[in-house]
Amino acid sequence: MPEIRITNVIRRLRFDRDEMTQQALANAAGCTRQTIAAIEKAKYAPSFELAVRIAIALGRPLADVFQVECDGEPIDLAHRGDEKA
Amino acid sequence: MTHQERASFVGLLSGILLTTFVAVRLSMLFRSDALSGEDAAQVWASAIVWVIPAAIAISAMANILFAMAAKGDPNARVVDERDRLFEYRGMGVLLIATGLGFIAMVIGLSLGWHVPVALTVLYGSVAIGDIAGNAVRIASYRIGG
Repeated sequence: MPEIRITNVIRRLRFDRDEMTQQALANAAGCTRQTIAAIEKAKYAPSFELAVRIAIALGRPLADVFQVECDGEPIDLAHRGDEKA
Repeated sequence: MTHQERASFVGLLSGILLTTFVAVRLSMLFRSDALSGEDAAQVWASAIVWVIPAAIAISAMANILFAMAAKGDPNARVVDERDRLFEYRGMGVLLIATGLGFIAMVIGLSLGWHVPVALTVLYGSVAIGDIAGNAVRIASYRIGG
């Protein structure tokens, strides 16, 4: 089974968005500030639903917020389906 | 610290407190031969039946205190998927401990254990499972995921 690693740039995107606080993002995404902190540190992998809510709250596509590596190789989430087809 | 994390701390402390009281009470009963008669199971139950309302009262008081402390903070009671994940993790620990205690009790009874001893083993497994479950929840919050 390939090793999947999910990273994110939530911290950078928050600062790009008028230095949005973790609490403000948590309020917008419907979770606790501690969960946002854990996701930023890659200590917790959010559900797909929460990942989408975070992306919406940051006003960015999901693929801009979360990055996926498969066996060390980055996967382009936005175009992966097209490549397979 | 989230509302759920604080609740886990209170659960851990109250669990340790109640279990200590019960352990002391039961050890006194076992030493006094009060559990050697035919009504041993009834005496045993009477000795620890107060634990149920006491646990409910402690939980209710803690919730009231949290609500007072978090007055005016609309996010104080937010429970999200991470809280639920840790809740299930803790419940899993409690379930495993209770299951093992039940199996030990059945095996013990089949080997001729005295009923109060078997009940104590079952109660102990539930109490230890509750404490361990809360400890696992707190550890999960500390670790992060």
